[in-house]
Amino acid sequence: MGKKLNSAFLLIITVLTAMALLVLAFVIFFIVKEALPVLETAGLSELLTGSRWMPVDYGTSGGMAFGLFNFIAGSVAVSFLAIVISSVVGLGAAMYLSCAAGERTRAFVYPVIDLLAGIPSVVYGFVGIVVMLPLFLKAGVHTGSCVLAAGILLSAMLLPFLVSSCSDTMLRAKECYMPSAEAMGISKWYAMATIVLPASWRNILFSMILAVGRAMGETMAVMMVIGNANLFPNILGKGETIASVIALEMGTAVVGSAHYHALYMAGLILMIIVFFINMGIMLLRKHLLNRGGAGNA
Amino acid sequence: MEMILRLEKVSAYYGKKSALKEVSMSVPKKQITAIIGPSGCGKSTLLRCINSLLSEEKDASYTGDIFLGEKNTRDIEGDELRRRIGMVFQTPSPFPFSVYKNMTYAPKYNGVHSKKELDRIAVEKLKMTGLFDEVSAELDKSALKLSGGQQQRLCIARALTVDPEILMLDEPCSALDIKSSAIIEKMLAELKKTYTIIIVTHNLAQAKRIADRTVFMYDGHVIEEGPTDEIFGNPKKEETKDFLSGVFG
Ligand SMILES: Nc1ncnc2c1ncn2[C@@H]1O[C@H](COP(=O)(O)OP(=O)(O)O)[C@@H](O)[C@H]1O
Ligand SMILES: [Mg+2]
Repeated sequence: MGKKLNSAFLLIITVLTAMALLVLAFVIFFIVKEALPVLETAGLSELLTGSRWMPVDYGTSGGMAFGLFNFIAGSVAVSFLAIVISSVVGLGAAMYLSCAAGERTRAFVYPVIDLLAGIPSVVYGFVGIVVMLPLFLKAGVHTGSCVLAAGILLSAMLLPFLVSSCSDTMLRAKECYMPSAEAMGISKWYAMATIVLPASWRNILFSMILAVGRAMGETMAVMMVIGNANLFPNILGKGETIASVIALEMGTAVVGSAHYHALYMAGLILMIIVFFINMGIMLLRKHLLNRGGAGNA
Repeated sequence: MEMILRLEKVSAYYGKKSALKEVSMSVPKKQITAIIGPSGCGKSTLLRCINSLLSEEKDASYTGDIFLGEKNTRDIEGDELRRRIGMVFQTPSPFPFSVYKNMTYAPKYNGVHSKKELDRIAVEKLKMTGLFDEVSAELDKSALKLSGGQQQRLCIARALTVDPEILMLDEPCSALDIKSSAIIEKMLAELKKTYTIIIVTHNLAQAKRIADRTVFMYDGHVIEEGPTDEIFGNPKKEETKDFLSGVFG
């Protein structure tokens, strides 16, 4: 009986796993299939390096153009800004929560952070428009919409996840290593910086992988404050990301047109970029694993 | 017999809860003192009073006096006190570095920077714990790749790198197999030539084998202390007899 149950269970989870993989494969297949036809109209080099985006022929001089470069740069720039800001702030907060704050503070702050993670991105975008853009406007940024605003907003959205996962990791490292360090007369903050932080790097990088995916794909909030102009991203100027161009234009693109296929290509490129960034972080992590978790970090 | 450590009416509290009740005892120099007693009786708390780690904890405090040699430990800076009284915990917890870096971490913190001196400390302490022959070829290997017993010996060696006068061990063998425990027991018998050792242990046979002196604690009190042979051979108090015969524990 137990054996039968066991094999039935095994069968079920195998089927479920296979289904998940199948869905993923199907999504990728579909995107690739819908993306490739654009190559009949525009070459790969135009797509990747061109900065003119004129996906519908309005009879303007120059005709149609499918340069995605500014959007790609926009996505990368906004995500980079967001990751840098949220990592710095997040690590600081995580260090405070795991090492300086007491049990009671943690018990209060953790649920609040989880609450922040549950706020829909359109609400973040709304707060960005109402609170942040006027500040940028006052500071002299035309219309207030800019890449920096999007980066800051996005970083605020990444923070809850980064803080809670990093402080978990650091708390565990602290509980493991701090008693021994303290018992040798090492000061708390020195031990934090030289043992707990290095010991947590691998997990922190793993959290960053998830954060990068989230950042590159985030659409709504970024779209609401970045200005959506096909310009090379300038920190205080407008820009547009791949995700926002897809969201803004997919609804009006004629199915089967070059415009339609070009948007799929943009999505495919986004996926590939996220994949490579994650590979990069993974390699870094492995490097640390061989050296830091082991070796002499 | 010279006493290196003396406790006078030490009481400890976690919030309002009292965990030690007017404990008085003394520890002879360069001998092994075992602290035995049922779990929850305050053994770990006692160690944390001795190196004053308890006063770093929120809501925890202790009263009474502890003398290291002639000096009241309250007059010694916390970090300084902990350099003089080392401590090793139940779960082996090498830092996630190489073996060598584990051994040089504290000396470096204390201002030793010459490579020669660092090497000397590392080798000397690793030899003291019998670990040197086993790891000399792989000092650059991660300490986390050592076996559990080796990790615990590394932690002991690491605690010795700051040259403490007293080494306290809180159930150092409870996470280890019999063979690794035996190696550590043998090593402690060697180490007592240089250091004073206080060991908390759950294993009565272990206390009997290695300790010169044994302290029996129960419910926050020191019930009985004396030479190990006397405590085990001829206990005076009812509680001690009951505990040793396995009535509770
Ligand atoms: N951090 C703490 N906060 C509150 N109570 C504690 C804490 N640590 C230990 N205690 C309590 O103090 C008593 C003694 O604990 P401990 O010294 O760890 O005993 P032992 O090491 O002999 O098992 C126990 O009743 C335990 O519940
Ligand atoms: Mg204990």
